[in-house]
Amino acid sequence: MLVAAEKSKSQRDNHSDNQSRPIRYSDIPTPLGDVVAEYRIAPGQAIAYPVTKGQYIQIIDVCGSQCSDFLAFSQEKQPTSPRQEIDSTVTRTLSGVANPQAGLHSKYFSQTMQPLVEVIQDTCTRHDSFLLACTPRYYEDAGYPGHPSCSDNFNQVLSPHGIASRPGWPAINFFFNTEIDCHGNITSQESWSHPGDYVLLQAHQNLLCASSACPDDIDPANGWQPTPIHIRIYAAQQNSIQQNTVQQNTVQQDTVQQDSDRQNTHSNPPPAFARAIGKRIAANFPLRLTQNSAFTPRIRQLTDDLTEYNGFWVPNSFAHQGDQAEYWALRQRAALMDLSALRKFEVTGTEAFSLLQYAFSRNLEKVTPGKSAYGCLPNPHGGIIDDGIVFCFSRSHYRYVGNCDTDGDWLERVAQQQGWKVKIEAVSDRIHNLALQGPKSRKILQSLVTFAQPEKKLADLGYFRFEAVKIGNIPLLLSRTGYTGELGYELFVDPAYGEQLWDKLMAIGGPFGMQPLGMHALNRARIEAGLLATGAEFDDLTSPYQAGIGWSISLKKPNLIGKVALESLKQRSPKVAVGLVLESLETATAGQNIYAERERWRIGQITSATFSPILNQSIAMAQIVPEYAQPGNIVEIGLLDGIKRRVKATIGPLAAFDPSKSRARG
Amino acid sequence: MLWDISGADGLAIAQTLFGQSVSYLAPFQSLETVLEENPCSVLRLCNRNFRILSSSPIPQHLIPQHLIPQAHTASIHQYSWLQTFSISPQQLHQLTQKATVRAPHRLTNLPNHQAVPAQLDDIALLIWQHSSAHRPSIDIHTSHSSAKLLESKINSWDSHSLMTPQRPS
Repeated sequence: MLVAAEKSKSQRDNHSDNQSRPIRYSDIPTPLGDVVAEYRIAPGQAIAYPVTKGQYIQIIDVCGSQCSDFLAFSQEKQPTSPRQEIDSTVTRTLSGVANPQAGLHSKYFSQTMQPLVEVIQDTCTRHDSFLLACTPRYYEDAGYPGHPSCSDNFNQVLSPHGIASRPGWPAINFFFNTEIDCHGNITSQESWSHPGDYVLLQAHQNLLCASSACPDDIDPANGWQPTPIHIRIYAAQQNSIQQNTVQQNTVQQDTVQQDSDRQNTHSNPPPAFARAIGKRIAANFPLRLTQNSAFTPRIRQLTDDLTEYNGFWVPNSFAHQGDQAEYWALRQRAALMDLSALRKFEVTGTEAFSLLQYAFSRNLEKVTPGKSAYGCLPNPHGGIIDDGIVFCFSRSHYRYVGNCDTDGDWLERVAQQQGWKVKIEAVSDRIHNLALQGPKSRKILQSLVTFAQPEKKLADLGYFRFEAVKIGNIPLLLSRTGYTGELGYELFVDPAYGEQLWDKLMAIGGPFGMQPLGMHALNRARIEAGLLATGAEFDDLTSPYQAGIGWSISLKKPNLIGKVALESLKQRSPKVAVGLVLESLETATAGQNIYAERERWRIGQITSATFSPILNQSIAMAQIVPEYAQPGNIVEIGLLDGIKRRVKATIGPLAAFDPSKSRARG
Repeated sequence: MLWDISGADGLAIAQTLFGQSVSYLAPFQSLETVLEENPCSVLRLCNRNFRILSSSPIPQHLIPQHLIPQAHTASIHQYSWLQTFSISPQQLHQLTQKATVRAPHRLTNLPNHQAVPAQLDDIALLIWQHSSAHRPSIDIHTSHSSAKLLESKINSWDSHSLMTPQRPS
């Protein structure tokens, strides 16, 4: 960070440079598109600048760990009401999120609920909208009378525009790392932002904006050393969008049409830049921006309710359907869902079997070509790195399908440590996948699928079996697997065929009552089926025995990562996974405590919960101490604060619906 | 008449009154049914809240004793500030051209038995396309205070006049 700051010293001295004196900045990412103005804000300073409706504002943290407070005032004249400015309380209330983020809840609103700016891209994701920009009072109380502050700096730069001074400005404090702890205290720490991290906003009105490079050097907010902030303004109409230098995946043009808070049938044009959220998953992994799958363009035609999930834009539910209708389509007929966010790795080489036999929980001696197996990657202390499915093509070729980009890195490290000749290749960008699930899924596929050997029939494809097949001219890998507890198939395909495959399936599935299915309905179905979700039922501190997949651990194998710890955990897991059926129809939520009947002490926690339409009961997955885990036991779930209302629940199998998996097995 | 059911046991009461089929509805979807020989339409507003369009009051005796609304569990009521009126398909067509919705709601291709919250200029309304007594119906729900203005706006588009506004009684 120091080196980067030193390099930019000459540029720092020229704060508020604009287009009339173009400077090639070498310390920040290349422009995203056509720049109409740019400003370098020197450390501890602030600037005011105009932005016209439709233009884009990129706020770049040059050196990393530097906060930049932001104000926006409408330039539209409203003589009868005060000047419109960003109102964080209005914004939080309308969006239901602490800070708007690229996607559905992306806009910052004024006090009259008009959108002023919208987040288009954000590579940091940690900002503050609860606190004022730093004030003289903050520094005075800390023993620094006269210390420069963002609020005073804003007063100076806004005064020429007729905006009255305030002792403290309620700003959007980009890159400011604050958090509300469980006691209600607001704490702050050093910013999460890396050098070159940025927020890209689009103006929804003609605006006067103000941005600061926060002068705070008395606490960790700016890493104890204020550094510059860079502002770029991009034209509303982009002729030459540059490839984002930090972007590792192709971000296709986002076609969501929501240029203002409201939309009608004649929607405004989509933004010139793709909406994306930057995520970092590990220190040695590049920033990853949210991407579309091969099917997203088709999905966007059917819904605007998309959310970021594991690096992809995925639908929550579909317009004029809703998750109940999608759920019932799945349980009674068929549903089509995009699961491309799964990560795929080809594991090849003479010792591919040895690697997976050591790193994957199942005994792969039994997983012969054409078969697959669900299991997990245990870590050395018996926690779960990830769960996933291993597909066997041969003893020297497997495919691992899991949830994390880091899975491949882990397998590669294990292979290296063991000196095994294995190649791990991440192929997620080459293989996207749909799942067609539901009792009519076989009938839907029957007329479409052709096998290489004509004598093969779809009905012969057994549970956890797969085949290379064709649908029309589309080659794909068809697998009898799923995440819903239903008879179903997963279709792995080259993204080039994505839209064609989607169209074919939707056309043939329509008469069967098939519907596309979003994440809300999928989550309901997978909870009913007792299927785990990463982050909910397991993480790297949760053992397979606690998560409910102890059955997937083959301790008979001579070698398995974490075997010693797993043997011990099998004897006495501190918690075990159970299913709960609530006496009330109220829905529990993840994290709620579970108590022994009529006792004050806790015995576990809810991990996932939903209302099960097919059971007409409220159900939950939970992890509780083994002493209370006997089927039929009655426990109490603490709703609200755990005191005001307790709901009795009965312990049962993890899968409340079809625990024997008879439907999925077909 | 519009009747609103809401509360923790809202779904249970709706299921008791109208059968299991109401649980198949997603928010803003509806179905047509009969309650004690009276045709009615049931619109789901969220997981536990329903709105019923019926020509007669909801018979309380149909609700099991343990589900009789009390405190937080559920309530069946009419909103004095809510007004409904019907419009023609032509007016719906024009309304969908002029009204706006907030994402992720959509006005395009509004199917039967579907509602959508919308705004016409500054007036908030709920557009509900459904069937009543097997006849297609397009109802507008809006506040009593906005109804006249909304009526005049919609009437100004063409010669089709609105049906007489009905206040919930």
